[in-house]
Amino acid sequence: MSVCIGIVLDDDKTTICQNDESSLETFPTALCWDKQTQSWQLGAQAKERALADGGMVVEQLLQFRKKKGTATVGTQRYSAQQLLNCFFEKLLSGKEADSVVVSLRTPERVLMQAVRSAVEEAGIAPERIQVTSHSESFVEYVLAQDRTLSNQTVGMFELSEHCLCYYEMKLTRTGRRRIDVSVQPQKETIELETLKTDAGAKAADELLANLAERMLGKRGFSAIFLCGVGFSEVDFAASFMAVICSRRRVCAEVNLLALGAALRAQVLAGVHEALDATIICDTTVRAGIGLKVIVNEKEQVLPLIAAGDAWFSAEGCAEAILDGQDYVELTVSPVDQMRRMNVRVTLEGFPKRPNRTTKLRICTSFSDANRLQIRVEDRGFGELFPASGAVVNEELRL
Amino acid sequence: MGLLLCEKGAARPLYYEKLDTNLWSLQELCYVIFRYPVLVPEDFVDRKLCAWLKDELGLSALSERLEQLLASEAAQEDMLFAILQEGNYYTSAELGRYRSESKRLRSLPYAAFAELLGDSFYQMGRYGKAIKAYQDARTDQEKPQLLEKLAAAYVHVMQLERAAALYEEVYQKTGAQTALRQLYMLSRMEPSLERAARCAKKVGEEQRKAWDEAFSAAAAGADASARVKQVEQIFSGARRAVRAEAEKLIVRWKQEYREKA
Repeated sequence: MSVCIGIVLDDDKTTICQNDESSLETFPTALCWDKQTQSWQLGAQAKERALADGGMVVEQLLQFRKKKGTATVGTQRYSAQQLLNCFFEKLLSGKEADSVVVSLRTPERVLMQAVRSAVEEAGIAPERIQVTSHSESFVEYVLAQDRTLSNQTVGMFELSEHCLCYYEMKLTRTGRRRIDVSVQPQKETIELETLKTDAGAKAADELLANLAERMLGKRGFSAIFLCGVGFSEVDFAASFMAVICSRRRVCAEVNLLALGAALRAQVLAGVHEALDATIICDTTVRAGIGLKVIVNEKEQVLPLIAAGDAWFSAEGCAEAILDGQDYVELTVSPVDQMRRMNVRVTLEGFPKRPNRTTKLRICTSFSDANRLQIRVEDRGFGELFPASGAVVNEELRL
Repeated sequence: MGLLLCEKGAARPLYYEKLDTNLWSLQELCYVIFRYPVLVPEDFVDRKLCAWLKDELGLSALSERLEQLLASEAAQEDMLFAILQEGNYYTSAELGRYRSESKRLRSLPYAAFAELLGDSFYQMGRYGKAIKAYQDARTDQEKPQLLEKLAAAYVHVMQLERAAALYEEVYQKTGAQTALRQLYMLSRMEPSLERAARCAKKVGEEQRKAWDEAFSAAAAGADASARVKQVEQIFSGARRAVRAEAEKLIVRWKQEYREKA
């Protein structure tokens, strides 16, 4: 049987799910060097060890990595990446995972690269690793449930320590199935400790009820999901529940995101088929990118990047020869708009040559879900007109 | 107007002997075929070219078509046309003009063809090859324009005496002002050229003034050129550095001169 692991990695908590809900574990995201066993300890054990030995516990690993911090553990100095590597090595040790999916709250390039690298260092084959976002884990979980739960808009409230988010998923069935996912982190959060008091619970209930009214309005939803440790019991939130349960089905699953990540890991391992749909969320490209070219004297649009591709790895390149113009023209086709936009990149600083003797290499990629990077390089025309090395870089906010 | 989409280039180039250059893509091949039709050798399309198209550019269909044409002993013109059609580089109107031009070139007498060959080499800066082609084009009936072209090629390779001899011949036969002007300019460039100095005396006062102005403007332009500035910069340095830099520059100039051949 394949071992498919889904991991939700936040700065305060990590949840690991192996195949299904029967093997789920949540612990603090903390790392400590155990002098006694000469090995790394994770989670609560790491904190205990640190207290016992007076050693150093490293927490907030993602923020630490983002800041490229260093820490001295024992007598050795470690970079943030090395600590992340040790964390995953310990986490995955002995599991013999066939596939690993790590779900992050904020899918930033530097963090995604760092996590992927750490999982590779832990011995997992690159093609069996995926770093995704909570939005995708949400989609994966919902679509694995009964179909009637996702035939209209689906909403989800996530309540964890210092985190209150609302997710929404819409399924479009015209043409190829498309799933649009948005996530709205809330500025106001709830300290879960306060739920133990009446005043705290009441305030939390009021906050949640207001949020639900704002987000849901009178709209129809096929289901509302509740996830996160804050919803492990909902007795404190009577008003909130009244709002969301009004003519709607409500399902609570504390570890929904970890289960979703594990389901995605099963797809990676080939246990299940991938979703036959284009997902538009914070890890995917919202618009198709094309290049206007001439083929056999007819203008065409050459697709470079497709909407729904993971922006992190999406890259499209083409080579073409300038004919009677000093610019390249790209097309941007947002999935939620019928109209296509044209973007012109002027080739400033490129050498003047006879017509049709300048070959260009045009490359497009994304630095995040909304920022398209365009790079155009002069390749000359073989040895007849050597390349000048001129390059134009442009960034486009979608 | 637009961007002509290209397929992948070759990992190993095709050496095109006539231009002494490597070709790395189908578009470059189309360019040299179309632009320099007189340079394409009779046996240009051969099995080696077909193999390169197939193995390096992945153009199996084109390669097979050319092999079939070769086997049926088709005219080279047809095979070159097949390559141009595949290139996504020239329009159908341009290809039509190429067909007509090819037919016209095939029907030219040898001397006219050789002159066109010389013109092609001259355009590319291959003055040595241009000189040979122009010489091949010379017949009993010397065309003044041909002699002027040959003279211009000689000027580029600094064989000024030969250039002066040809310009003088043209001037004596036709009285052409263009030839006289060139002789005058040669006498300004190189006063020791007797022939040029002799002819320069025949230039009228007004004409001399105008040509002197043109010469001065050209000289001033040359003084302000990047190459002259480079030399001045070298000579403003320390003695040892000057020697080292001068040696490098001379090697480069020699290379450039050889490339003109």
